Amino acid sequence: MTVATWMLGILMAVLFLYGVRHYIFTLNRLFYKQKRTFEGVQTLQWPRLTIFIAAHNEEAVVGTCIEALVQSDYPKDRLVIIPVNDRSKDRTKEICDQWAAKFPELVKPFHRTEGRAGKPAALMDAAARAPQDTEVFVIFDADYNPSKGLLKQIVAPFCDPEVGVTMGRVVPMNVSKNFLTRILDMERSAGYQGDQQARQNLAAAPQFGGTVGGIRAKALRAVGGFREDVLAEDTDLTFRLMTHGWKVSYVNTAECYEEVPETWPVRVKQLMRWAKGHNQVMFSYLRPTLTNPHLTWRQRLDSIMLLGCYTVAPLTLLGWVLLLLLYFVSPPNLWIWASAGVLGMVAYGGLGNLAAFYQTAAAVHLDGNSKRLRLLPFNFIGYVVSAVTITRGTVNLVKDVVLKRELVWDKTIRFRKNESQSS
Amino acid sequence: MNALFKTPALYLTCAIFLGLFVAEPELLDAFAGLLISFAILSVPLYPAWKELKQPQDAKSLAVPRGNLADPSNDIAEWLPQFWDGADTAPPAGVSVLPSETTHLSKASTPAADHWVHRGVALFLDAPAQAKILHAKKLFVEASTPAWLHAKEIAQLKEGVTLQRVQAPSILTGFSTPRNTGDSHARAAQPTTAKSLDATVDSTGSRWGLRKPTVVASRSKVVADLVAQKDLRIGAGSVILGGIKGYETVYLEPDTWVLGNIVARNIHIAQHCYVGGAVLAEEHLTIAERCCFGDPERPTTISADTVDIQAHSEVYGALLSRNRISVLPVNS
Repeated sequence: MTVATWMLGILMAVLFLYGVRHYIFTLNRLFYKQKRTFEGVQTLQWPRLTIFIAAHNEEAVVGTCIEALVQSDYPKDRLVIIPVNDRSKDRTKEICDQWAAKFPELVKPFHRTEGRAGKPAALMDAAARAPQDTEVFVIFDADYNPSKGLLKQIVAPFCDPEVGVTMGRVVPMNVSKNFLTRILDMERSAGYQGDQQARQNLAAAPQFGGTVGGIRAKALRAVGGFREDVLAEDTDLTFRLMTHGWKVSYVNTAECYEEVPETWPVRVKQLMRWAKGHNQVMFSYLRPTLTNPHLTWRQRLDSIMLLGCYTVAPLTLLGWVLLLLLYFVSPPNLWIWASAGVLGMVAYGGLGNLAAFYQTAAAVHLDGNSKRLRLLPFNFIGYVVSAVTITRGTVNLVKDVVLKRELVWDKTIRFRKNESQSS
Repeated sequence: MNALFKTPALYLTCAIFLGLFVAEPELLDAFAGLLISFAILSVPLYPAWKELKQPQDAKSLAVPRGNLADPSNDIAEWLPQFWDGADTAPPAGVSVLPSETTHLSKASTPAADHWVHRGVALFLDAPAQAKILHAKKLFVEASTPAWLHAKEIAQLKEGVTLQRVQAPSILTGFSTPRNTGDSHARAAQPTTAKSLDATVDSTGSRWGLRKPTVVASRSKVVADLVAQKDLRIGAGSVILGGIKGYETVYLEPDTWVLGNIVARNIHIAQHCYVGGAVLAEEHLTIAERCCFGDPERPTTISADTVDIQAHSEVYGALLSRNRISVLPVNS
């Protein structure tokens, strides 16, 4: 019984720390000075870019992404777009080739027919084929729709010689589809407008999300490129770069449309992949992050909590189990009721669906969309689904490690119709 | 709803509850408490339910935030560049000033957010309460909150304050600056990381400075410098890389920096040249006769507040998030 009580106490302390962290983020976003050093920079000696568009069976969306990048205001003589067609079986190759025929100097597709499956492996192969004078790699998933001025905004922070990777903001484009897309829209607001910008302001550790971001070529080479054996190559790269003294810079105004899942099964698969991938990275980088001499204590603490963010859901569920156990096998006392109160608060108001509910509210308010906040109480449904799914993903990862199974991932299904083909 | 009242199960349930309440009156209190709790807890769900069924706010965020409707206008190419993420509404109408040389006095200032001058030279003699002002050659002789853009040259008179200006050539004061960098490049002596007590990163091109550091006069540094504390670059030095400062970076007179400078605060003394961007998180001061960028490689100077003395030149953009003050030389 003592063990269970101690475990519950430790869980409460961890959850309390996460709650405090998100309160700090929220207050910072609402009331403190925002870091905007690189905003508005439009005139520079721009670095040479190679843009990768990761595409595996993306006939429905890849054309729109290429078209948007072709229309970018980035100097065309300093830009190469490489759609990375990774063993697609649909019309992805044909669409990429059509764009290459139209803009031969600009669009140079790479059709990958063999090699290890997955985005990191495809990006590694593509990086080997990029022009040698590339200074910055920019990565987009094929379902993203970058605006005309986005590239300059993403690239401007590379003026800082410490910045190894930059990250823009992801904005869902299919918000009005259904209940799920609407709560995911609020979750994205919380994650970017709230969480990432606060971490940028506080000189903590913003995260590279694997898309809508740039990577300094020199930094990527210095850390050995993408790891092919991880599911969350973005998180892995973030921590590997930080271990080598590079910083991540978040640009809140570099907004890019994406398509969020429109059905719960697709959302569940996406979350499972994220949970497995993120927790895999956590096991690899907990110790190196704690001893990283390039990070301040604030950055270390934030990084550790970032690494552990996908363990919060299993920990909360474990807390409830312990609480019930203690309730039934020992007489109820103040400690148990206090624990129940805090766990309940954490579950609903504190952590929410990967972002604290109050943080979601603040972020949506900052976006100027306060009316949609009326939907926030229903976010509890999303929270429950996330909590269960992330726990399943974490358990699956442990089983994969114990049984030495190869990690498998499910591609996120696209819902857009074939709306863009070069003509 | 009608069908519900025809259901025998409903009447049976009511009868059971009634029987229970008669038999055990305390249950009535408990049941009433339950109903009240349920009602209170359901209150936030009502607007949520309403929003779900009749969405009033279900559109995607507009990306990008700023866009001018009229694409034929010169300003359309430039406007998004200065568009502030905080602004969400698109700009209002544009006022066109047609004459070759125009002097804008208080009496002649049009009432519009955006002005476009189609002639050769526009003299801003009085404060312009516009949002954006575009001309071929722009001579700013009065303070203005407008964001300024010139196709060829913008000259800013001493004493004016403004917010943002972009032009191939921006001159402060009305005389040509002097670029002194080249002769110093030849005179500077190479400096090692060891002499600065710097750590070198794995690429060898970035030197880390953990303590407040002074780079000796006429030094030549071939790497990027990352300073955790204050950094002072001695007079006549040449930095071939960039500079990152977590605190304040000082450039003493006649310093030459080829790369970018990013720091919390930056102070640049007279006769300095910076080839890259100069981006300060908070405050930037620039003394007289400094030069930034060149015609082939325009650049950006940006900070919360910028104090720039006369007789300096910027090729590109001079931006502030609060204000730019053009100061006389002896200030």
